[in-house]
Amino acid sequence: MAKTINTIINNEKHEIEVPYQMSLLELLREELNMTGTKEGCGNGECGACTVLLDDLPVRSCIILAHEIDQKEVVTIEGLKNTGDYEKIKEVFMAEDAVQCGFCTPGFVMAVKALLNRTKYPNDQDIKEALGGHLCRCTGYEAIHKAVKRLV
Amino acid sequence: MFNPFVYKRPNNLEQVFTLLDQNEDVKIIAGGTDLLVKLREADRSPELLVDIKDLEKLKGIKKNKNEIKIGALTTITEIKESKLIKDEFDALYQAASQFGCYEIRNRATIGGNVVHASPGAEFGVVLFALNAEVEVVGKRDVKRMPIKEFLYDVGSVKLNNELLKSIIIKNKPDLKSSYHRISRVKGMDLALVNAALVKDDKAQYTSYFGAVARTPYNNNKVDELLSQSNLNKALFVKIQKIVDESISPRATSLRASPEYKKKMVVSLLKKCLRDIGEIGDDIDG
Ligand SMILES: Cc1cc2nc3c(=O)[nH]c(=O)nc-3n(C[C@H](O)[C@H](O)[C@H](O)COP(=O)(O)OP(=O)(O)OC[C@H]3O[C@@H](n4cnc5c(N)ncnc54)[C@H](O)[C@@H]3O)c2cc1C
Ligand code: FES
Ligand code: FES
Repeated sequence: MAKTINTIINNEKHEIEVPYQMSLLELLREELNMTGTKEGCGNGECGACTVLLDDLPVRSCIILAHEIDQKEVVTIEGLKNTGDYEKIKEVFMAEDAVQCGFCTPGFVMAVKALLNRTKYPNDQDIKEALGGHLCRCTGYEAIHKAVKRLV
Repeated sequence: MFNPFVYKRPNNLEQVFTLLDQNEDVKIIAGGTDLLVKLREADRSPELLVDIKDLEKLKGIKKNKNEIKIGALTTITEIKESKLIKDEFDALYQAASQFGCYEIRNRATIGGNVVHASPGAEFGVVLFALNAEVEVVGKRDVKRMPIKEFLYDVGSVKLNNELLKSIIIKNKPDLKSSYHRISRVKGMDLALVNAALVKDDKAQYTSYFGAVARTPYNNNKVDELLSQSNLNKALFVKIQKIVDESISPRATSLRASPEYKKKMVVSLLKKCLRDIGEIGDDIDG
């Protein structure tokens, strides 16, 4: 069964009919064709599917699409052309913090949320923000260093 | 896609109870971090999910006179960032800090954690050690009972078409508390063993351990020894012996052997004591 939800995604209003049993991640990738958000584990454990929900980073694989009715979501697509996005891209490239890139959108969302919370994150803040994100390629050193460059 | 269900998000308690009354196969969803993971693996879903996130009455952390009331819908992030909690109950703050990861903490609620009642869950041991009470709201009334009564077995709490409304903790001046856990991967896993320790204003200790029994485990003898003895190396040898003889964690646990868990119980106890300044680094382990 499906019902209409009203939501704002990346600053754009959407009024769409969504099946109850659809996850937020499926709504983004399959209905709205926003494939920047990745599906890794599907169980909340890897962070690849991270998006901002009313400004807080959350895992879209374990959230229902209907839970965002009347709420606002920002995905990696929504960060494009923002100053923070350009800065994050630059430091990730400078530190070789991207290899296959699968985990990267999740990390970038986590970093963006961190910058929203605090302009000058310390080591502890960075660890807290990235702690639950898995990367199978780079080791976490490069990513951590990249984020430190932002400060 | 999950297996099919209908989803409703009422914004008052009355509607919730009407839905609970009218439907046999119904499940409450709060943060969904336990429920949706479970439904992903299940062959079928309940017919109806009732989302309680819009119930204002179940939110917020408040201080009334000599107790603190934490709404069931309070997220782990809200607990971690609450000055009130940090000032009064270190153990709660520490549990919130060691819980999952930031994104999960933003969704997961303390109510969901208590009701789900996993043996290694963060808040079970802490709330048992603090002798917390819970408020349960039903169609007709609100009941208050000790959490030790409410959470009575693995995954089992006393709810009958009711909701957990809030958790209440008496705050005594001079109470000290601490929480520690051991897990395989930092954060992203339930604790293999965890421990909470409280020292009250009369210098009496209460200790609880998680994931070593079906519900948070306490041994009176250990608490008495702590309260009445010098905290020296010999004492911990004695305590280890009591622990070895009194608990029998499941030998079939995939996560850790019983022997390892027994050692970790005492090691975590020392860690908690060190935290609240009762023993120094001279007592190792
Ligand atoms: C990646 C990951 C990491 C995790 N790490 C940890 C960890 O480190 N420590 C830990 O303890 N847990 C952890 N968990 C488990 C989970 O996040 C917690 O148990 C969480 O507190 C559950 O809260 P929730 O609001 O998401 O519950 P939900 O999934 O919404 O609900 C859980 C159960 O409680 C019921 N329920 C919820 N609220 C109420 C209420 N107010 N009244 C009546 N019934 C209710 C639901 O019907 C359901 O049966 C983790 C989970 C994931 C996915
Ligand atoms: S895909 Fe959502 S956390 Fe891994
Ligand atoms: S770059 Fe490949 S998983 Fe992180």
